[in-house]
Amino acid sequence: MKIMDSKREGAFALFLFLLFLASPAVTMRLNPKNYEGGRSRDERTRHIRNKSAAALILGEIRSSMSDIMFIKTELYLHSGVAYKLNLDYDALSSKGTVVEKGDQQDVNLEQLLPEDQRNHAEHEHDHDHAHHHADDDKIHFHCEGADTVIPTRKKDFRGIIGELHRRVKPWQDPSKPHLHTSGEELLPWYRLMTLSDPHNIRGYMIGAWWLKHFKKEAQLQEAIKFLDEGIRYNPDSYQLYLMKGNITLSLDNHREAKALYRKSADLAIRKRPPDGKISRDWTHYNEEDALAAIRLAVFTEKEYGDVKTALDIARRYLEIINSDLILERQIQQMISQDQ
Amino acid sequence: MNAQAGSNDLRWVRLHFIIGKGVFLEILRRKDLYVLIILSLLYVLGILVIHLVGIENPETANFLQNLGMSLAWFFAHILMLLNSSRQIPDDLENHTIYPLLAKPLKRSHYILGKWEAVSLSGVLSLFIFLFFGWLLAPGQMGNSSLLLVQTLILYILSLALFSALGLFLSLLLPRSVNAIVLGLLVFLGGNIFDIVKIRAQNARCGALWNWIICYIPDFSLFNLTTRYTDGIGPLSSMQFAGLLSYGFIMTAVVLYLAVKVFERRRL
Repeated sequence: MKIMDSKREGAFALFLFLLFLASPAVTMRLNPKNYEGGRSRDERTRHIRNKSAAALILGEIRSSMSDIMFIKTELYLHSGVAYKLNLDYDALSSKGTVVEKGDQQDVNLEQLLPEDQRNHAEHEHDHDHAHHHADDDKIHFHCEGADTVIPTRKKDFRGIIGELHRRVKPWQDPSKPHLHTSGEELLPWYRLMTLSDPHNIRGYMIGAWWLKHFKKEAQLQEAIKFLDEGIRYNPDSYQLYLMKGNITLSLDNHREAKALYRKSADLAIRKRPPDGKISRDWTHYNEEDALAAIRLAVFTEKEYGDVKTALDIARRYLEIINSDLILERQIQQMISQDQ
Repeated sequence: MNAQAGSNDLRWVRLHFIIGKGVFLEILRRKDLYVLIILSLLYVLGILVIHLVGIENPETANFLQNLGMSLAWFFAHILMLLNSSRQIPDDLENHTIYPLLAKPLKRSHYILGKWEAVSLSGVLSLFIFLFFGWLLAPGQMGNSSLLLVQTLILYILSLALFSALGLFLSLLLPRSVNAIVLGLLVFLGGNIFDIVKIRAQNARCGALWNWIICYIPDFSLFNLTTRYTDGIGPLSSMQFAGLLSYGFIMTAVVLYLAVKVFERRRL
């Protein structure tokens, strides 16, 4: 009886052991957290939620680990001064850092192109999602405009307590230009941010942007690897393809850059509302990036590919987006060149 | 023969009942449960205040519901962590294990009895916390009821696996180390596994690494709270069956190991 029992137990143990050994074959296919959309990822819902009293009371607790890291990087970039837009997901939806619209110091296409082709560039757009100036200084000034979390004396009803708050915490008058520290030291944070949430597109964008800032091949390659990872997890993000296209172009890999811009433009068109109307779901930054992808797809096709194809895609894109002066001018130019 | 088997079964149930009663009395004697209930009540108080002020929009209501469910998950696991990691060491320290084993009770039954009782107490406390955190939370935005059922089943499975792991590790590790390891596994495990998996993808033996990592229990797979409050549909039957079998296999393996280690242990 005992022998029977021990035999049965042995067989059970062997069965269990084999099941356990083979279990990763099933486990690796389990992905309950992998889904498209969702309220917690939707910018509009996040925006509404973050403006509620409950969310304000809970402060950073409501953020994910990745968002907390993002807020920390923002504080670092602004020398510890907290700006209100840090908490505005509308503004953060695609650009990452916190600047007012008027603050966009556009980097034009010339900066992406080789020296000899710079005079052809006629398109201006902010390609760096970090919206940091393309100067060589590691520290630079940022234009005024964005409100600080701690209000100014004029707006603060707290009197002496408000004054104390402004003196104890890092603060500076938002009407004055403020200092932007270098974000290169923040690269590990962007890495951690994307590791903890692989769907954090802005983490990939800004991280890649800072790597690009080094202007060295090794770092540019690293940025491409970083963006590839982002694309693997967010295959529909046209911004990531756009950024990869920019970096690939910096490496003079024209053919690949051309393909990346095409992919980015196609994805952007799929996401763009038919009239391109700015809304909570389709922000000013989304529209800017979409237009940039479209223009660059046409421009790089014209410069490094076939003018006829460029003309065809330009017409097709124009038909979809209805009107765009830059694209129209490109088409005119190509027609006159053809003639 | 049948009558003897029947009386054996009865005795087995009675012994398990004695072990279970001991575990429940221990939980009531200690103050952990009360502390967690008080914390839950603080959350309820907050919710009541928010109700008074008024919930501005369904998005905020949904967010509060997510918070409530996450708190219930968190508190139930904290209680399990404290409970499962001290069951066997306390019995050994206080010599309360000897009268039990002298009943006579097989060591395997002792472990199984402890696991059943700890898991059951975890499930009961989970429902208490869910009552505070979820039922009292404001209205929903039409989330999937089927997914809610799946979520609750996976919560229970997670607690069962967690208590088995807590008992098993308490046989190998000192109490505090056990608590830290369990805490890391259940609360940060998902993030750590994601990081390792991303790193492994770029490594030479990435696939092998990914395979090996799957042998460590990943509790984040059982937590569908955000999926539920995100308004996503239920899991496919294949995914759900996969998660169930993953939980069952892991729990069975950990329990088997716990029994084997305990049987070889000198008391």
